[in-house]
Amino acid sequence: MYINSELPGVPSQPGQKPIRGFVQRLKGKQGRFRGNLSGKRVDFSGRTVISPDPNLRIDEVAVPERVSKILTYPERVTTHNIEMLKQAVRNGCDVHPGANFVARGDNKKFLKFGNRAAIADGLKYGDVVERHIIDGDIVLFNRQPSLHKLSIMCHRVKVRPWRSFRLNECVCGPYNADFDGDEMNLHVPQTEEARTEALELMSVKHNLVTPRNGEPVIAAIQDFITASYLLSRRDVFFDRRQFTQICCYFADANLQIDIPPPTIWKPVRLWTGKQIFNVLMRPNKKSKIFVNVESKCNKWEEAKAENYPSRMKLVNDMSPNDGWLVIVNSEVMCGVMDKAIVGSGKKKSIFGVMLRDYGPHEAAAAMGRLAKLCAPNFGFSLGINDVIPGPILSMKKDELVERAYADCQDLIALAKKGKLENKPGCNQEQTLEAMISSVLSKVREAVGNICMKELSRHNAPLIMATCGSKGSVINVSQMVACVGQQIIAGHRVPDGFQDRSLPHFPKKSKEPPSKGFVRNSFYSGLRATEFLFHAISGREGLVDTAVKTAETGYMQRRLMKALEDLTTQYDLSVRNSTGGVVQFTYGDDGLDPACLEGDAQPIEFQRAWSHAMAIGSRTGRGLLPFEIMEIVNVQFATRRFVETCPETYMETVRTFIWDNVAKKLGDMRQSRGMFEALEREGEWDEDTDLSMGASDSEKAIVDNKSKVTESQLLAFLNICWVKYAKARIEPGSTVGAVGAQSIGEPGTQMTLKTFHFAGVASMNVTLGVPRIKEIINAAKAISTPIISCRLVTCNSEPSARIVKGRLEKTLLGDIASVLEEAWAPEYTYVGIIIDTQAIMKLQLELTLDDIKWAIVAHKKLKIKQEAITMIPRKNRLRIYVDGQDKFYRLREFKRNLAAVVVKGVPTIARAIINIKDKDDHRGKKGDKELLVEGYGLQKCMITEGVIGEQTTSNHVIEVAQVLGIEAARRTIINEIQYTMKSHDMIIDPRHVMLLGDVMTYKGEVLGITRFGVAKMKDSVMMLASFEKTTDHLFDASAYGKNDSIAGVSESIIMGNPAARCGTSMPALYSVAPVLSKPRPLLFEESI
Amino acid sequence: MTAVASNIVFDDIFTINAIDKEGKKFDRVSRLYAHSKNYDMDLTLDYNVELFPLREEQNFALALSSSLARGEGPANTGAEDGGDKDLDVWRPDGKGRRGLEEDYDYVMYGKVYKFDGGTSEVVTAYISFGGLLMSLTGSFRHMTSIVLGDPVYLLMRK
Repeated sequence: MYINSELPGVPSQPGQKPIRGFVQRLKGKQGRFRGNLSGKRVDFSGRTVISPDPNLRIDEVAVPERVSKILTYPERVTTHNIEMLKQAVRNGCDVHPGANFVARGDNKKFLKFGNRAAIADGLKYGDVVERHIIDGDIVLFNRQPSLHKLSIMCHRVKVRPWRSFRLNECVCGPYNADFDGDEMNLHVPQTEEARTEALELMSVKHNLVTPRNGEPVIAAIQDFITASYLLSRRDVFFDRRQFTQICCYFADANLQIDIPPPTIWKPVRLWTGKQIFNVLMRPNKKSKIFVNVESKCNKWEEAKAENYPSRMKLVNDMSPNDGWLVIVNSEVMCGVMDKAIVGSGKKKSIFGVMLRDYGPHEAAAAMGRLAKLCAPNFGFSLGINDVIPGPILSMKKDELVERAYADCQDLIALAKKGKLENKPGCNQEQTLEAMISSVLSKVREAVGNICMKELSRHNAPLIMATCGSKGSVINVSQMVACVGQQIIAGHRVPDGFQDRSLPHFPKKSKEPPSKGFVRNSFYSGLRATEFLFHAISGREGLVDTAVKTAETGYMQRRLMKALEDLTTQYDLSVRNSTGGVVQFTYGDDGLDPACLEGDAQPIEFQRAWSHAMAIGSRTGRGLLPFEIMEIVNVQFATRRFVETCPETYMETVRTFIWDNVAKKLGDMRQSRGMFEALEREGEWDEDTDLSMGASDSEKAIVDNKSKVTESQLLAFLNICWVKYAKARIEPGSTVGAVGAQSIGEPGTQMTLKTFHFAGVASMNVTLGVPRIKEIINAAKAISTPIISCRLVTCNSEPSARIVKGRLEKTLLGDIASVLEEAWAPEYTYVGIIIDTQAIMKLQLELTLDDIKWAIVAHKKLKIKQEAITMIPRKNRLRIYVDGQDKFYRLREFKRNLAAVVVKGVPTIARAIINIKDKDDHRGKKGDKELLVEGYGLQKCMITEGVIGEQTTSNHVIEVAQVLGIEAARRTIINEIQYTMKSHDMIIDPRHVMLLGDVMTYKGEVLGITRFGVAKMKDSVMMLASFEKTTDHLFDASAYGKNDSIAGVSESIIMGNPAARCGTSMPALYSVAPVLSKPRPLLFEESI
Repeated sequence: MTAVASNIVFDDIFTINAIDKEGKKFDRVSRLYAHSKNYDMDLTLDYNVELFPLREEQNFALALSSSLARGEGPANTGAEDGGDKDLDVWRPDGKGRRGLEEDYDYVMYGKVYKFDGGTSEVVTAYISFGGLLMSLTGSFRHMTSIVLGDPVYLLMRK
């Protein structure tokens, strides 16, 4: 009872306080291990409500003065700070830049009482003053739930009045913070080392991008985006006064700003809104920031070719709504500043580009300027006027809804008569549901489009939807026109009463209104029934989020525990704390996902090239194609390239230059009648004319289109080198922890979408959190196992049907026309008459013999093969029964024979022929493939007509059994990526690879569960802090285990710095000191 | 290279075919589509309708110039500070070569940022005036003086 007060079978005495046994003290979240050893209560921390302040820099946090007087930093007195610290000591505890304690050696004095002036005068070098935190101090700022490393970042202090922590809104993203009452925590590192480390590794500036995929997470949000959008539209003009005023907003007073020349000189001098952004990116001529980027904006309307001269080759820039951004040397050529350009989540946003090309400080400064610019300028408000639909809009919407209702009525009528053509794998009812749903979802889409068209350009919700700052087209149309179909658990509203959803409707009604279609808008008001349906669907969403947070939280914890100690070593291999190799090179190429600019590539060639073209000097002689290739090869032979970049990378660069530069230039030259000059001629020198007498104008056009100078080319090659050098992963990186967070954190954002059609309606695949859970648990039974088989003849429907017949299980009952009992004095038997017609129709390859053996093979029936006689002429089988209990045996046979599987694989539920909707490595669009629901990969692979090599399953364990561990690893990676992609979440393949490797590196598939983790890890301490605390401890004590304290969890529990990762990895190795022989103990003999 | 004596790099008279063919998207800016007879050039241009109202079928003269100085050779051959001085001519007190704008009603300043070739004969130049786009399509022979990446003045009169 003292050891474990939760013994089963012992009832708790009522009235008596339950005893807290040792087990209970250790166990659980509040227990000793998780509550006091892995996590502790700390000093020098604070917590309060947060609020926004765009005038702070993005790496600042405003700390209330009263907080700053409690949090202190122990600063040692030196020549440089003695005056400041003396003043602080004089000020004491209650005046702000003061101090709370002074310490000399072990003697610590409290400054609230006593003679502060005397202490201040007696301050000596080497004393330590615990002074209040002041502007510029380094603190850590955190918001729960701390799901990824960006949830705790390092800010600089700005001491401000009042009572809330304030931060720049741009930093809301990584914390996932808003200002509806959120609270955040603040910690003050107490040593110089801690401060430096925090500043270098955790600073906001060094965490502008998420390590998940290298996209920026700290960027403009909401009103900043709206303001940027409004400011950068094509028809925004300012006179000089307005322009300079706006430029003043975004800078601190210490910044030199050079005003560019106006766009319109005459009749009046006017500047455009886009020029403000030119100044914002590059405030003065001394600035070396040259941003070059070309990208799609949030809403890009393509220019229609028929509106433009036919001989003009239309480029994306001409978009009528200004939806294509081009920036050349920090000058905005076209495009608006919307979500895609100043917001988060796009590598090609201006901040992303600045970060990659000019470092985090410049990007952060520009973001600060944008925040300050957007803060005071534009009023933006939303009123009832914005949601009143115009007459045309209401009319069109009513028309659409009425037509959809009529369509649905027609469908229902058809379905009643049974004339609806069934969709593959569906019955009549399901087909009807699917068709009605598609009709109704089309209505919402159409209404949304009408809204976008009919609403005024100045409509506030519309502006927000177009620039992506908040809300979407659906939200706008729900307010203005039509709320649309309410979905509950992936279907229309189910019946809550007998045969109907609500008693307001006729029974068995399938019309849109009775099944949860809301035709009103939030403006026009919902009917009572509509309101209820909307509330049901709203409640479902709430419940789902509540359930999901708990589930993903636990998943995250398990992932973290399994991967926490994986780090890259000096040889770039990934090993765990005990030295077990998980990967020989991190991610197969040793690159850091956070530093990748392209799509899982260290560099985005197209943009890097245009950037190099813009920053390199255009003056000077244009290179000839062969000269270009020569320069490239010479550069690649230099030491720095050879030492840093692998051959494959240089080869891709070379291919890029050849395809996009040298070859193009050659073609261009040829088309203008010059020498192509792709190869060096023997007697070439500077003066040789290879133009073959082309005219000046022809030379000019070739130059305009494709001139490349040496400085541009060298600039490009330099960028290529720098990008690669930067992208290499550092030894000591905690790739495991980062990978776990990168997979766990997006889980919390996954929306309701749990199901998804795998091409065919009715063939659902589990997605979302449940699916991720299945994969990382390495679950034996998954909810939707699907095997997809490539067919040998993939273009013929009949042959696909034959293969389907081979796979799908056929029961005896399906092909037997009669199952009869026959009683006679001499014999009794069960007669089976096979319907050959049915077999023909189903295109089965089945003989009587096959059926006989199938029956014999059936385990439960226990029929001997001698008992069966075949009458092939009549297609009959007879199973003779004899013995004592023949009556009962006969009845049993008759009952169970129908369920005998005569053909196909019993574990397969069904197979569906799917027509591919797009090309991939397993075939072209329009090819037929077989999707098999159920288990039995091996059976599928060896089936005739199926290409075994290209048959895949989504069941990890089965793949491991059939194809081996490498295939299982591949399946884990593919399935996680597929699930994440279908939720529009991009995760760098390196993280998923690492997870796949962790789950498979022991040679069997280990789930990230308590059992799997126990097999992966040896440390008792780590396992005890994970789950089943006491079981592990009892075990360890019984077997006398020892723990080397090498992993992260153990180190934390012991209070050591995390071993062998990050900054604790580098160490000095010296010869071990020689230990003298231990002194004999006094009472040694007595033992 | 055709007109060495002048800063004007392109000069022609256009007739407007249409305005805002793709719908009016902005209050104060419209896009016009025009064609010239002399050089057989196609033009699309975003312009400020409040300052320079135009109608369909109207004719206007359009010139592109590398500097606002009258006559004289190209201005941008000078060193860096020469270019700087040229950028400052917009200031009311700005010294520098000006004068060309007096002959025109509507003047804009921008940059040639893209060249795009359709067939080998026809070329399109893209110029951006602080976000107001202009595309000029025609035979490359008439556009030899337009150089990629150079600042350019647009001069228009009815």
